[in-house]
Amino acid sequence: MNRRRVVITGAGTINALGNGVAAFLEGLRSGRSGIGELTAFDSRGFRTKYAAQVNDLRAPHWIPAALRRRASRSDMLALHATREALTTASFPALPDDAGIVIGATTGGMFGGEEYFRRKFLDQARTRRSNILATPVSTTVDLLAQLLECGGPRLTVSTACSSGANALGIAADWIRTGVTPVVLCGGSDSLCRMTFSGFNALQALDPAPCRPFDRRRAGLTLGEGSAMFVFEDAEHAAARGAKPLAEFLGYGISADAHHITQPRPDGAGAELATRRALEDSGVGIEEIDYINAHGTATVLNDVIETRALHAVFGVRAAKIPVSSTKSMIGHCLGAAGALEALAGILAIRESFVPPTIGLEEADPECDLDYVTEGARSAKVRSVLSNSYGFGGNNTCIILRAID
Amino acid sequence: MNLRPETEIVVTGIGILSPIGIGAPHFWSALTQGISGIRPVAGATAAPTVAAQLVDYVPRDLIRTPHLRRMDKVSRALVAAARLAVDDAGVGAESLASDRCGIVVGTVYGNLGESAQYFQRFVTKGPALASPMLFPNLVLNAPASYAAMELGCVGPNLTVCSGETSGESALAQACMLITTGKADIVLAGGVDEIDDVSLEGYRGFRALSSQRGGREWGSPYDTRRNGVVLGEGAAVLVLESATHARARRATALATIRSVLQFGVPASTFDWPRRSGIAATRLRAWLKRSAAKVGAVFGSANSSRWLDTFELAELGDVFGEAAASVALTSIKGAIGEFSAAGALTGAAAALAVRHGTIPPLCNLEEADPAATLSLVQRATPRSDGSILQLGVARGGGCVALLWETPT
Repeated sequence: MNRRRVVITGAGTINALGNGVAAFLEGLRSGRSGIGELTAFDSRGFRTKYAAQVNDLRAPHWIPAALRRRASRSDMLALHATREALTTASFPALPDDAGIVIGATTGGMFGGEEYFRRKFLDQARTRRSNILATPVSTTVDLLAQLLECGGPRLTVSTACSSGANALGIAADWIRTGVTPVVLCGGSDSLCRMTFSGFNALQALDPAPCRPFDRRRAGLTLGEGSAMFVFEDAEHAAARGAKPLAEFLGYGISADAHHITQPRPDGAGAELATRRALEDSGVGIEEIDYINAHGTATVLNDVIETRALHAVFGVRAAKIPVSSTKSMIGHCLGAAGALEALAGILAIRESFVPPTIGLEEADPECDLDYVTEGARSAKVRSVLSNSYGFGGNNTCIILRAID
Repeated sequence: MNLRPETEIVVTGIGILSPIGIGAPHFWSALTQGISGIRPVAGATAAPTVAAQLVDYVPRDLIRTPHLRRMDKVSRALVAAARLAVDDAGVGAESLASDRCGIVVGTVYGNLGESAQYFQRFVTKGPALASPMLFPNLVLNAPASYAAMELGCVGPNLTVCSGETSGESALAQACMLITTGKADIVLAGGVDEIDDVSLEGYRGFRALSSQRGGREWGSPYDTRRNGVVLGEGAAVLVLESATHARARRATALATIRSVLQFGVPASTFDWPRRSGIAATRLRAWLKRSAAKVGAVFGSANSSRWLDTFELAELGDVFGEAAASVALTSIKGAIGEFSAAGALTGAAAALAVRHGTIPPLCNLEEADPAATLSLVQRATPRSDGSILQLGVARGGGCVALLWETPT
């Protein structure tokens, strides 16, 4: 059977670096940090006051008023990114059978929390709209309603690898002929539940996060969305669309080890990477840039480095590896999608985004983390890693259009 | 990637924790006798005063590792169902530990019940006292991750959500993992419990039975149905490529012949209304699959709108032949929840295996809009495929075609 190729014909984003791909690119290029003081909710009582927040977030004007009221913070992020993705893909409207798949972890929890806060503080007036949009699958249903999509729809929730898995599932739908066009990506908003949870696990760095640094003390949470139009290459060619990049393949594995901690030997991460290379038909010598999971937790950065050594051998030291979480924070369910976009931009704009905040090298993290700022480089193939809570590992591979 | 589109996918084992019994044999026996798991909720004064609550079981009997101590109620149910399924299928530890063995779980609310508890502590005692023990179990993928730990599965691991069709979506995604060659064997199913968030959601929409008057009960396709009765439970099916099942000499219970995921117009938070689109999509798919359907396992949950939608669209699918197609829904027995489709899938597989279509529960006065033959008591399965149809609020639909293995 002739394998269908999957190309990316549209991309959009909103994150702490700004609203839109242009702002994101400018931020990555200049090594600007999107991390600042958290204002979405009260940060008192937490280890840190820092977050990579999207400021002045509002529901977009182009959706009906009734839905604007009900849209959760996470829905709004996805709506902004979707609009841009459809515009770049030159789709005034998606085809009838277009699919939608999104990675998300907390959905409308930010609003749900308000509902519960009122309820637990015995305030009689709770708002129904706060609770309705809580389920993670709401964002996809909302998009399907607004865009009148009649194809398959799904939300994938595998913690921090959700966004990467959403892209993989979209590609599978296209490759197996389920549908030729899929809107896919990830969206997650900041909320008190995750903030307090990572805080309680002592996984938040009191200072802005410092991936791969010896002094790193945890992650900085962020929020945002990146959405893409994935398309069967022939379908895209037939309508004259100009693809941004090709989605080559992905690999997925489970640690089967611990609910919060990664496997110390990095075997799960290694397996996902090997499977991604195999699925993509790409050799280790072809990878030009690795967008690391790089959360800046003590364990992750060492284990990820170890897994890269295991897979790439002597070549590991020669490939630039960076964590864009140093600029946009850890956006959980959206992280994999946002980092895929960073990879696409690296390919298209011929540069490698930096890891910022890394000043003191950790002897156990001994790769080229691009600390001097964005670097000009010809980038053809990109590996992007996403490892999640519960031991969910997903790696994706993107490639330049020849 | 080596696509394997011609791969036959079979079910070789089933594990169920339900309101009508633990384990596939008890579940099937109750289902075919028309026993409903909808019972009074102890101490309830406002709707819901009835619900299909999971019957008691001893987690320790089914979960053997120290992980049990850390697991929340929802994860325990899913892991226990996975263990039952694996035992039923006779899958050995070696196969499970292979990177060719995956897990796909469908859920929407997961452990949200505990998240309310977690948040109460946060709100009343302050953020610093949020529980580090409780938090990791709140992620939606906790049940799937605990299952991987318990069974040692290092292959693909996914948690998928699509409202009330999350169970069906898990089955669909599991088939995808096998078809795309990412796994040879996948434990697929779903889990959900009755929790505050889902309850408040339905209550806020006045979608629960009796909220708009009448007595509280669950009676799919009955004229006097008046809303949803909530349920809970877990089901896991062992799906394998037929080649893999044959190689290990496993008995195939049923085959999933084809899957169709699609959407119909609907308001994001409400059931779809008849548009004819579902019928058109289903008809085209059945034609493509050259399938003759003998029975339908619908998703009717006693909601006025969902049942009406389903009766109308199915009527359009089968037209003149509708009367020769049997129609049932198991939600009168197990209630409605996001993973109900996993239990319905299990029921469809068991129906293929045993040659019996289980009856609707609590059906007193059949909706005259039904043109298909509503199943009033357990009936022998006629030739032809079983169509499982899942419909979610917001308009997401998943359909599966179940057949006798070749």
